[in-house]
Amino acid sequence: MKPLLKLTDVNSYYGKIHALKNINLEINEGEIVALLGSNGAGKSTTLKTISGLIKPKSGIIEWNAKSIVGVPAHKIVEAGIIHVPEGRRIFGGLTVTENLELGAFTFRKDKKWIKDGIERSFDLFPRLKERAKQLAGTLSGGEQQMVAISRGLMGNPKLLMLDEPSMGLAPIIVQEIMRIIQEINKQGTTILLIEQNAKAALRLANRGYLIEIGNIVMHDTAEVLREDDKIIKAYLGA
Amino acid sequence: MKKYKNQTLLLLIIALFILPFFLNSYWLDVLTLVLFYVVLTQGLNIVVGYTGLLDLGYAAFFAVGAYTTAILMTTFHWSFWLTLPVAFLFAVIAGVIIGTPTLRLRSDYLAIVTLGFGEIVKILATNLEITGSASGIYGIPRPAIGSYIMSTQKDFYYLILIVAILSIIAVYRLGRSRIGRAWIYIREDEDAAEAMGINRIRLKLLSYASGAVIGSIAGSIFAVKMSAIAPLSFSFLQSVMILLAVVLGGLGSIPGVVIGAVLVIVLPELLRGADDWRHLIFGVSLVAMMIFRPQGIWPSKNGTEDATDMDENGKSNDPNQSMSV
Repeated sequence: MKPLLKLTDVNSYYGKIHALKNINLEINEGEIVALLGSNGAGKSTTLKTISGLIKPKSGIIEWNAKSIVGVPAHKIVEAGIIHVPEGRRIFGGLTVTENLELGAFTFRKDKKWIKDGIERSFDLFPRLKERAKQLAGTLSGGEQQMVAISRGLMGNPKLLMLDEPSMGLAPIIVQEIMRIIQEINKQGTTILLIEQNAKAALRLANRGYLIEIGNIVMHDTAEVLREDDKIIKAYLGA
Repeated sequence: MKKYKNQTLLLLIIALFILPFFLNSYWLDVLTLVLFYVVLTQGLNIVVGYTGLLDLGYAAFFAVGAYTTAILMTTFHWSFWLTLPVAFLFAVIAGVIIGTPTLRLRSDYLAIVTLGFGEIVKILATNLEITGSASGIYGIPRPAIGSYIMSTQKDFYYLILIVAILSIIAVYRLGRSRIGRAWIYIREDEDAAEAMGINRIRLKLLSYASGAVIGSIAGSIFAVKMSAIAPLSFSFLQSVMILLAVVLGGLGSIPGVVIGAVLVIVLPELLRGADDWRHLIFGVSLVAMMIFRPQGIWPSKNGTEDATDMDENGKSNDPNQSMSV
């Protein structure tokens, strides 16, 4: 089977800092892949490199067997890779509905898609329906994360990349978000999940990669990683 | 409710059309200047209000329009109306020239570069021969409609009034279009907007270009109204006053920006009785206004207040949101 997304020897820099060192990563269609690692390991940089916000210095990124290195970010979105950035980054001064409309920006005049998409988001997150006309900045952290995920889905992604969706949320909300991520995956969207919360992520994922100071140091199925001594010690808490 | 609002607007427009018959020439002149500012602030509103790009050199576009019209009419004897499309074209080019190097810049840095751009245009106008150097261009002919030559104060009042109404409609429509929404997304969070598939580069350039075109129309009319233009009219102070009107009225809010334009022009005139004190009173009232109404006099519905305050993880979203004007 050909992978949906394949990174081969990707190197990225933040100015002079060598943030990603020869990253190799594969995502197959229909999978949930977790990218684990501590602060500053290069998780977010990996996502930004895939979504075109950072241009890699060298290496190959293939999407459906076609290179997407140097393709501008908005074209990558159109190709079906959608990045839900860390810290939610929703538009606090706009209403929930307006935030969702932005997610469908690449659909231009397809009004029906936009309307249906908003309905689908409300089915997935009934809580947002009550808050449709509220300014997104006034929502709770969990609700804001729901807006961010729904906004990502509005663009009809084939691959949804979620950057720390559990960050700063209460454990019960984390559970709910994780359940919904699984639901989104069941409906046919491939997911790349970045998490510091390795426990939650590995419960969900099919496979996982562990990244440390810019290097992929381990990758395996989620079952193996859950049992791995190193991971248990460093990320799961013995 | 909406019908009621439309009626009020219609009454206001009718009032503006019959007002010249009741005003002395001094107040008619003040009102004409207000309308120039209404056009200019609408143009700047696209750049600063909608897109959130702080521009301290907006008078440059005003100058591009004025000089294009003035040169084409005096040296090449073109008709006024034919100079307009050329002025638009130059304004778009100027907009792209200022837009391209500033694409990656934000807040303070952007302000400095636009400030420099404004100064470059002024200094070019002061030193080039074709722009008449420091003395400027004079003897600009009056525009004609058929055989009627526009020359009275009232003629120009009506011309700029119509342009002001058209530019308000244009900016209103733009703000509610797909492009307008994209501008607002860029203002709110540029990175997130880009991650959602917005072509940041094209839309920022479009914002500069649209703002520039509206500024250039005001410039072209200014040239034929004054019949003489000089670099002094396009100074840094002019840029600041236009920006002041936009911020004072409420960034991104059309009625707010109109009120801002009225205040910035009318307030100093009303205070003329206070002689030397008037600038002090004007300054103090501006400071007071910003303290008591930091979002502007008539803020837009989508205020620029950022979500950072409510974001529990305290991660600052974007320094651009809290613009340091």
